[in-house]
Amino acid sequence: MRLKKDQISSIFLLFVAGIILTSSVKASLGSFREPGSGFVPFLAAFVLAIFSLLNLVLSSLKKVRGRERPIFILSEMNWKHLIMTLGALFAFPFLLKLLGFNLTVFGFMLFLAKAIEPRRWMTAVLFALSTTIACYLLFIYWLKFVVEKGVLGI
Amino acid sequence: MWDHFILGFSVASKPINFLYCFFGCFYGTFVGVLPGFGPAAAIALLLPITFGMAPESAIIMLAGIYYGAMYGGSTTSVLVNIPGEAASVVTCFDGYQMAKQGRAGTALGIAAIGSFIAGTLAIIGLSIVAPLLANFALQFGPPEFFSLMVLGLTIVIYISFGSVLKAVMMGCLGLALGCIGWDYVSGNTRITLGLEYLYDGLPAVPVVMGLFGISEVLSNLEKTGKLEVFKDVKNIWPSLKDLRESILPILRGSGIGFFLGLLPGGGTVVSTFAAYTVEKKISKSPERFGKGAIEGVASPESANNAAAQSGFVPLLTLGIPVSPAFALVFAALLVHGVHPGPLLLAKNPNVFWGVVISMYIGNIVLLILNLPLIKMWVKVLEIPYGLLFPLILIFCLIGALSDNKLGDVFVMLVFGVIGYLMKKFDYEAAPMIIAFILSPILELNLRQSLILSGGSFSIFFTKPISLLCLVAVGLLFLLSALPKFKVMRPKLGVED
Repeated sequence: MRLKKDQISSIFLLFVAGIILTSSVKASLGSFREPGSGFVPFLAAFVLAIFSLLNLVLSSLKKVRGRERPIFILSEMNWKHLIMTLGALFAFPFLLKLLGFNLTVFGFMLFLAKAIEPRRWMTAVLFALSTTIACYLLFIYWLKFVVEKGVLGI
Repeated sequence: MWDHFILGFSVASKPINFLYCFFGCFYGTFVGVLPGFGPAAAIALLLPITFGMAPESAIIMLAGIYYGAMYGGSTTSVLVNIPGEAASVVTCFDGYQMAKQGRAGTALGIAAIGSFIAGTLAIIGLSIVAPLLANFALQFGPPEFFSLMVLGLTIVIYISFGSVLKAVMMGCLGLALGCIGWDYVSGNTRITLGLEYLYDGLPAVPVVMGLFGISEVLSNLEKTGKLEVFKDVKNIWPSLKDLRESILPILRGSGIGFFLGLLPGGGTVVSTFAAYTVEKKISKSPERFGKGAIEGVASPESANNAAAQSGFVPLLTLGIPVSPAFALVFAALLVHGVHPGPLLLAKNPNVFWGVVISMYIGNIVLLILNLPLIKMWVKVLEIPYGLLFPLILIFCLIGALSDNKLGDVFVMLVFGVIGYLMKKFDYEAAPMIIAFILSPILELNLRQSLILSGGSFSIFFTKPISLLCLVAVGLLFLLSALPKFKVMRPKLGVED
């Protein structure tokens, strides 16, 4: 059986509501006279759970004419771009610790400038370099952001 | 009153504040011109930069970004038929048709002039209404504030695109997420899942950057195709005939925008739809609408600018943000130790009047940026997205690093993916983010009210203002269940 979009999201939100409900109870609900730390998150998660359940039931009962449009249509989307960008984004904090601010920003910009659209190496390098210098001047020099220097100390 | 204006002028005319105002307007227009990047993400991106500024300078700049985006949004609507931000959707209807008829310049010109007149009128209105409302709100206690916030959230939920059920779910999720971390009343932590990082709660800026910045880039990346831009922009100054046809729609749009902008949840998007509908209804030739009627550009563009400025009234006097962008300004005020609410005018008059007067200055700056320099913004539309999106991402990443916590970067990335999936599963982020920002204050007011009443919820129904708000909440939910209003709702929506 294939799950519909709303069924998937409702089940996920029910799960999230469950986590919040459990954590709220652990944090103490208190009483109406003196509400505890878990009181408001419990109320919010309770309503979330009820509505998720309702959404799940309603979406299960709703008849869709033909087949529901899939959530991801790989043939219609640039999924390679998406994966590469996500990979670069999640690698950024790890590389930052290792390589430091300047090298990581340069590498990140170079990768994205080159990977997504066909571009000459020279243009991509110049773009990455100018962005790195601008970021350094703006964030480190002017705004005094404290950032990782990495193993090379630059 | 004059004392206040003089105080405001002395704040706004400081060279550094003028510079921030100019930069905010410039950056706001840039963001407005770019399709798929809204004012909330733009404000979130620069929020960390403002932490080192004086509070009035920070809010002057953030306000400039917001109303600047309203000006800039029309450019993309007219030239590309894609709204630069949600409040410019309506401008596409007639603006693009005017461009196709060779009148792109006139459409952009009237949009800028209308925005200027509306902005100026709205600031005058704001100067009059805000002190009155602040005085009135001094009578509010915890029950009134709680009910008012519930009403604000309900309106945001009601005007969200798509299902009310899903919008309520997002509102509840936002409320729960806002409770993560220390409970300052009891000193306990909650919903931290054992992670020490979450003791201070989820940081607002990375959450918003993720939901509105990263997710937007991810959504745009999966699309294929290039923008087709009308580059032939001439005759920017409208003729006398155009001005005659537009002046009343501009004034009507300004009025509609100002009053809808005052309502919690009213916002700029609803005001543009309302202004357009009114113009079409009262027009002697409604068949021209959608085919290049100048009134169809003048009125909604005036409305969104008036609403962008009147939205500061509930924010500054009641502490209620009407949209995610205002929620960020609200967060910025708190970071600077300024508490939005009825006492703001008394305690921080320099912030309030400084921001109001800077808006007068900002409107003149925007008129200059959007009329003689319009061709520069047309060029912005030609920047390849392949170069633009890495810049947006690197600003988000570095912005999230402002506290030098790698955890903030992960929060932003996780919420970026959540925001992307929310779009895929048809959930709107606006109710969630407003509930998330309001959650600590809403919780405090609820708990204080219950302590005051000895645990009885009747306190919310015995206070007249609170009762009025809750009746309105009930009516809105009732309306959303009626089939006639169900049909109307998908046309509305909260801007990001």
